[in-house]
Amino acid sequence: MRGARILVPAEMTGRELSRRRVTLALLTLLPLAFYAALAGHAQRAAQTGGIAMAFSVAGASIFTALTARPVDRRLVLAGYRPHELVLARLALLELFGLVVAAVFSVVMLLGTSPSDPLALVGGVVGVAVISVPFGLAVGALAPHDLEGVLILIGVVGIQLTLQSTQTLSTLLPFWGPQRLMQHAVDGTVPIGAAVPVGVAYTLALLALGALLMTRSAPRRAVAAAR
Amino acid sequence: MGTAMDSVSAAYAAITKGRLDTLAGLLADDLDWRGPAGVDGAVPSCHGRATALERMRRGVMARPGEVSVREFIERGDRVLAHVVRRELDGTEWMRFVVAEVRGREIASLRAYATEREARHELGGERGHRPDPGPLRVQVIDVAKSYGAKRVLHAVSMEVRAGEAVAITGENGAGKSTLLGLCAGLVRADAGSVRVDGAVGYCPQEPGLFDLLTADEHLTLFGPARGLGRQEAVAQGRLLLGELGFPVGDRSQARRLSGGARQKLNLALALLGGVDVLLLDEPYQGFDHGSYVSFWEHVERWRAQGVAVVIVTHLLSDLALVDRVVELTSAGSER
Repeated sequence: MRGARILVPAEMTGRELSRRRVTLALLTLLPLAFYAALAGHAQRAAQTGGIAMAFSVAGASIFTALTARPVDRRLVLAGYRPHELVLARLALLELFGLVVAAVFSVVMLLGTSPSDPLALVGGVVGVAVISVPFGLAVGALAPHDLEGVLILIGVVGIQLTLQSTQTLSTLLPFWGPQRLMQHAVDGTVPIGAAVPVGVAYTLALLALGALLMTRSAPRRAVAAAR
Repeated sequence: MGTAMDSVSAAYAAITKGRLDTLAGLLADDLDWRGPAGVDGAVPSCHGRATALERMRRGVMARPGEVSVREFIERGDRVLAHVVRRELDGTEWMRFVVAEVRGREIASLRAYATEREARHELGGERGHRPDPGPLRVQVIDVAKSYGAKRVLHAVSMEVRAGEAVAITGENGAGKSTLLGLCAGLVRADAGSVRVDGAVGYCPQEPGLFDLLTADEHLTLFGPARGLGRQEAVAQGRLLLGELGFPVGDRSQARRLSGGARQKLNLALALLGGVDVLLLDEPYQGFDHGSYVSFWEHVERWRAQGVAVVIVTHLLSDLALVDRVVELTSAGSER
């Protein structure tokens, strides 16, 4: 039964998401369009397309979190624990992100011919992995979908305009994967702390999203509020 | 010309078909509108025209010269009809008619001037209900403000197992906020709220996933209540069927009618069994039959020992509960 408390919400999140066909198509085509627009500049295209994939995965995560928000309160009131719902969405959306990353990796490996293919795939997968907690955190923080989308556009847009060697870029969530992808196509930029920073960002965003969701969850009305 | 009792039998047939407008027309001829209440009425000189059912559903007052049935309750072998006649000079006459039914025949019919008397007569079986059980909901001197706007001030309320309590008040009086406090969705600025037992909460706006079906919602809510997938769907379908939901309908929630969404909303609140049921105007979008059926279910839940709290703005509901908490600017009044 304990497994069902995560598997069932994950399954229903998947069913709900899979029925948004037009949204899914647009979310998948968006980073491909970024990549295709820079097809003549292989190095730039790989970084831009890879980071733009955050629009897809984080966008899906934001909409999932915002759509579920009014129902989540009832689900918690019915007996779910907030962390069970977070884990269920995380599992499903990471699966979705990895599928998108797999498709995108194949496209970029064929179109870019990187010097370090493993680093390129690692960067693309890293974007997908970080995008999910990032989207869930933004979804828990933003009051409406418009604000959520603006935060997404702002963060990913700034990251797109920067090189991984610039200081500001190191402060943004997708710096680690960006560094990996730049290393993969350039070869001169060292990977450095890209992987541990990416993992740290993932865990921090996940903790933030879980904290925000827990704080907004219903509390058993037994305590005096004086 | 048939007897008054024949007309009343026809009236009951009209009731069972949901044709309240016909009932109103029949009662207009059979009731002694101006005579003393509490007697069987048969004054054929009163003429009236039935209002349209739709107007009654919207709660529109009877036009001058018309008769309308505002409310109809069926409880066991007894029925209660709240009938209003409005004269051309603006005078309004109200009668609460209680009929005892045997098969399709009316065994007796009495009209009362006050709802309390009629309810007392109708609710003979309520006297057999067990005494209210343990305290399930206790709200003491609760206050809540949103910014500078004070919504609740010094509000207190108690609900015991087997009781139904209505929360009423003007728009913005804090009815939904008080229910949210009981559900744990809203935190009080002052005072205390205690709720004992499993809580079922039915919000005013159905909290549903638009792209999931009714069965998928039941499957989703099941594990929260400790139910397996099949058990949740089976129990949920039973609840939905009782509420008149088209069981087995595989439509996504966004394609359901407002009433059907609300029935699903209610069934999700009840899934797995609850001790406390918090209902925020749960019958919005219900047709008349579903509304009547809903109150029959309230009676059943009470008999099962569930503490029921209902936010409502319908005066006709107030006769159907044990107590009424009216929210005013000064606090709560009973």
